Amino acid sequence: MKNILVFGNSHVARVALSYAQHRSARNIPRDLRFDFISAPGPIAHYLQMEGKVLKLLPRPDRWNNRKIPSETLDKWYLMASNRIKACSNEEHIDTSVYDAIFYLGGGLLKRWRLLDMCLRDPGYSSGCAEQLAADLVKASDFYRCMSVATDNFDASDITVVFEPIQNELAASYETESTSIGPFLPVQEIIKESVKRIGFSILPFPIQLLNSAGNAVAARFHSGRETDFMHLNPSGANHVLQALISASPGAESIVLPSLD
Amino acid sequence: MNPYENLDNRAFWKLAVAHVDAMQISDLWQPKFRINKADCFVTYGSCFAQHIGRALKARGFNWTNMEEAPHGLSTDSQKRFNYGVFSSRTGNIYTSTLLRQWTSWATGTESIPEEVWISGDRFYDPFRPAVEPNGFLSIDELRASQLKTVESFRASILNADFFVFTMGLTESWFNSATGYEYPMCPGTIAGSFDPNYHCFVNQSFEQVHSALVKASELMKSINPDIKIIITVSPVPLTATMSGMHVLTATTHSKSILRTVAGQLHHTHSFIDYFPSYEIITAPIFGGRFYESNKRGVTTEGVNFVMNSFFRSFSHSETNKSEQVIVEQPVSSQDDETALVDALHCEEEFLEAFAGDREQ
Repeated sequence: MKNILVFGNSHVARVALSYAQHRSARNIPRDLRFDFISAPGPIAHYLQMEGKVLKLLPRPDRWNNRKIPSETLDKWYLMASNRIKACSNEEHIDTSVYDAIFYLGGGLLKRWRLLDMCLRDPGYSSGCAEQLAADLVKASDFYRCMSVATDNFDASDITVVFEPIQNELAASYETESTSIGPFLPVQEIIKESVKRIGFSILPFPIQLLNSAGNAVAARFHSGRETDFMHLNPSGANHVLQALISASPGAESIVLPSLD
Repeated sequence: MNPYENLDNRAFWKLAVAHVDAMQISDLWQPKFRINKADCFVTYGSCFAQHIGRALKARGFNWTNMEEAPHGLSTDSQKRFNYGVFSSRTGNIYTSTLLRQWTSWATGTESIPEEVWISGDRFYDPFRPAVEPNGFLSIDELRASQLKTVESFRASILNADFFVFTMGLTESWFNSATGYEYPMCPGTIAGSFDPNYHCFVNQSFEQVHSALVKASELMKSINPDIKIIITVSPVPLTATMSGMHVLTATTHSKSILRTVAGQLHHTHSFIDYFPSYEIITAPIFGGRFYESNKRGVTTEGVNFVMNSFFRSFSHSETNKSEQVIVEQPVSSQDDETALVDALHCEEEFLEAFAGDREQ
C-alpha cells in the first residue's frame, strides 16, 4: 500500500473530487491511497508543519478579518479540523506514515503578475527578478507554513505543487491593458527559488496552459460564473495525474479523461 | 551710526551662537525660493543625499522616484539593489563632474561609454558598480539597465521643481584615454586598476565650479524652470590619494566644495545652498552628530539637519520621526472580490468533503 498525502488550500478539494471519481471508476488501484487535507480560504494560513507533523494552528480568539464574517471563518476552521480528524483520527497528521507528501497551494503564485512584469521589463536585471521571486516566496503562506521546521523536518520530503492561477476569463484580464507574458518563465524562476530552500517541485501540468503559454487555459474554467480560481474536473484531472505520476510506484498509472 | 546697527540678531555670533543653546540655533537658512509640499523634489549626490530623500518622503513632501523597483520587492531587497536611494538608480554621484557626465547622457549630448567590467561570468557597470549586488548576467542586460537609469535620470530632471544635489568629493578617478569619470577607483568594488588608463584627479575649485555650471545649464536646457539646491556632505573622506593626511585632505576637499556652493548661490538665481555641512561640522555642536567612528552622521544629526531644512519653509515643526507609516485604504472592490474568492474556496471544500462529520 502506498499512502500519499496532499495538503493545502481549496485547490486540494477540487483534486480530491477528481480522485474520488476515479476511485469509484476503479481507475486508481486500491493499493494507492490518497489523503487530502484542504483548508478553505484564509484558514489555509493556519496549516503548519512542525517537524513531521501537519497541524492546524489554534483558532484565534478573534479572527481580525475585515472581509469575511467571523461565523464563516469559524465554520471553515471546523471544516478543516474535521478533515484532519477524518484522515488521522487525531488533531494533527503524522506525515511520517506517508510515502509521498504534496503541498498544493501556499500562494507561491499568488503574485505571479509582479514577477511576470519584472521578467518582461528589460530594465530589470535577472538578478533582481530572482530576488523578487525569493521575496515573494518568503512572503507566501507556503514559507510561513514551513518556517517552524524543527530538527526532524526535511524539506526534501515535501513536493511543492503550484496551484492554478486565474485564467483568462477573469475580469481583470479583460480590463487591464497590460499584456500577460507566458507562464513558464514565471514558474521557472519561482521553482528555482523554492529549490534553493530545499524543496522539490512538481511543475504545473503543461496541459493546463493555452496555446500562448498562459495559465490557465479558458477551457479549464470552473464553470461557476464568478469563480476564476478553481479548475473544472477536466483541469483537476491533469493535476491529479501529475500527482499520481510523481508518487512512488504509481508512475505508470494513466488516468482516463473524465469529460 | 553704522550699517551693523540695522542687522538682524542672526548676523552676530554673540547673539545667534555664543549665548544660545547649540540645539536651539535656528534660522540658519533662508531659502531663495518658496517651497510647497506639492513641489517635486529629486535628490542625488553622495551618501548623505540619501537622508534628504528619505526625510522629504517621510515628511509628506513630494520626493519623486523615477525608477521604481519591481513591485513586490521587499524593502531590504530594494536597498540591496539600490532602488529608492536616489530619484533614479544612478548610485552615488560624488562629484560635480560626475553630475555633469550623467546630465550629458540624459540630455543626449554625450553617449554612455561602452566600457564594461567583467568579474568571472558576471558583468559590472563601471558607472554604477554597486547597484547590482552580483553583477549583471550579460552585457545586454547591463546596457538595458543603464539605458533605463539614464532615461529615469532624464525624467527626474524634466519633472523636478527642485533638484537637490549633495556634493561629496573633489578626489576622483578618470579614464585618461577617454576622459570619462568613474564614481569609484576601478578595482575597489569591481573591475581592475590599470595605471596606464586610470588617473587620479583632485579637482580644483575651477574644475568643480565649471562642471556644476555646465550640469545646471544642461538641466535648464530641458527644464527651464528647474531650481537647484546644493548641499555639501559633512561626511569626511574614507581615504585620500592626495598624499595629505586624510584630515587635511577632508578639509581641503570640503572647503573647495563649500566655496563652489557659496559662489553659485550668489551668481545663479536658480541655485540655492542649504547649510547641512555647517550644521553637522560646526565646532559649537562639539562633534555630537558624528558616530563613534567620527565619520558617519548619527540619526540625531540627520534629524537636526532636516528639521532645520523644513523649519525654513515656514511650515510648523512636525516633530515626526523619519518612519512614517501610511496605511493604504483597502478599496471596497478589493473587499468584495476577496470575499467572493473565499466563498468559492468553501464551495470547493464542501463539494469534496461533504462526508466529513464534526468529531
